[in-house]
Amino acid sequence: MGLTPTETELRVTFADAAVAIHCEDAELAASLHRVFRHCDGPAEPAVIYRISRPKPNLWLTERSGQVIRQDIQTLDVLEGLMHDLVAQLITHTRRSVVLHAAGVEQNGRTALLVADSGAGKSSLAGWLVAQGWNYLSDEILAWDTGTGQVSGLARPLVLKRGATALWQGWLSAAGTLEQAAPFGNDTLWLDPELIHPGAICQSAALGWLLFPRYSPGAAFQASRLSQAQAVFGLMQHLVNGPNLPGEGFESAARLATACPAFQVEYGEFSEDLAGWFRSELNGY
Amino acid sequence: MPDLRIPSHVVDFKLQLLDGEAVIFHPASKKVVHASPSAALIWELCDGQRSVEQIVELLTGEYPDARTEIEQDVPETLNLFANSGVVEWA
Repeated sequence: MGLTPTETELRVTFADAAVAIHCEDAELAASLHRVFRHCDGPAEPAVIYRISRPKPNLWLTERSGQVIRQDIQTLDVLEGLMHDLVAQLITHTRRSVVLHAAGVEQNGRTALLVADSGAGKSSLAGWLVAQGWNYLSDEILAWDTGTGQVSGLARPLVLKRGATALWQGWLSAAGTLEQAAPFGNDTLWLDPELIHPGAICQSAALGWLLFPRYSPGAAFQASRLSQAQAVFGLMQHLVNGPNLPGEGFESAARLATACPAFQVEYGEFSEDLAGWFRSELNGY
Repeated sequence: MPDLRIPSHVVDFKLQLLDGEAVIFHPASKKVVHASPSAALIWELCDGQRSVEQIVELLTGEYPDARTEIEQDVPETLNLFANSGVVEWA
């Protein structure tokens, strides 16, 4: 499916998988380039999306020739595309263990923040970027079972609008609130480079497995997990099991034995939490 | 009242033993269970032949001082395994 003369192409790469997006609307194409500007790569696309606007109030999103969405609002196009694209990238990643996890890097080691959607992964990742860590992803990470490297889908941080007051304080001199793009009804996309210029990290070695748990009002507490507890936690968040030998169970065990794992409970972004990430974690 | 139910592992389960603890995974159902060292021991004794009562007796023979805990833990653990889909009652 080639490009028509009015379309531009954008590729979004994650681990060994890629998708292409063909878009004929210049404004939307510019938004897509901004959103996925850290996700470019050489992999051949397994899936091609085509976004067109046959009428002023109708957007069509096709995936490999099939219409998958009809939207009126541009924001709905972006939101729907993001959800589908993440699912397709997971489906087509075959050489890596893919986890539902955010990832940040420091001194060449990745902290994998393994947690469900809505558990505060993006906020924690954004706060750590503000603490000087580099950013791999707020949603999915891939651990290459061959090289041992961790990579992420470096999309913008997807932050709740209700928490604006929190992350506004993280923005560097380069970043302003206006630069965060709306995403759906309740969230904003924030480029991590507005928090910490040069924050993007394409891949890094494995460092630590962290299972964060946010509970409002909870005191900070970090406890070391056994390897078996880590495997159990990883299996809850492994999302491309069908692509891996034995549904990824042995790979998850290898991952859990390759680095230390912790459960981290917190109720606020406190100095205790910052200190633990800054000093104690580096002791392991 | 002796518990004569006979627990057996589900077919095709996968097991990882790590420092005495176990993780049991059933690929078909995607169920995964973490077992503490004592639960891992109970798991190992499920051979499709022994009853719950016989497993209790085996363990109390090894750990006579812990009879009360064993009598409580074995059926509880096996019920948990069964509810998690990694053990079946024969």
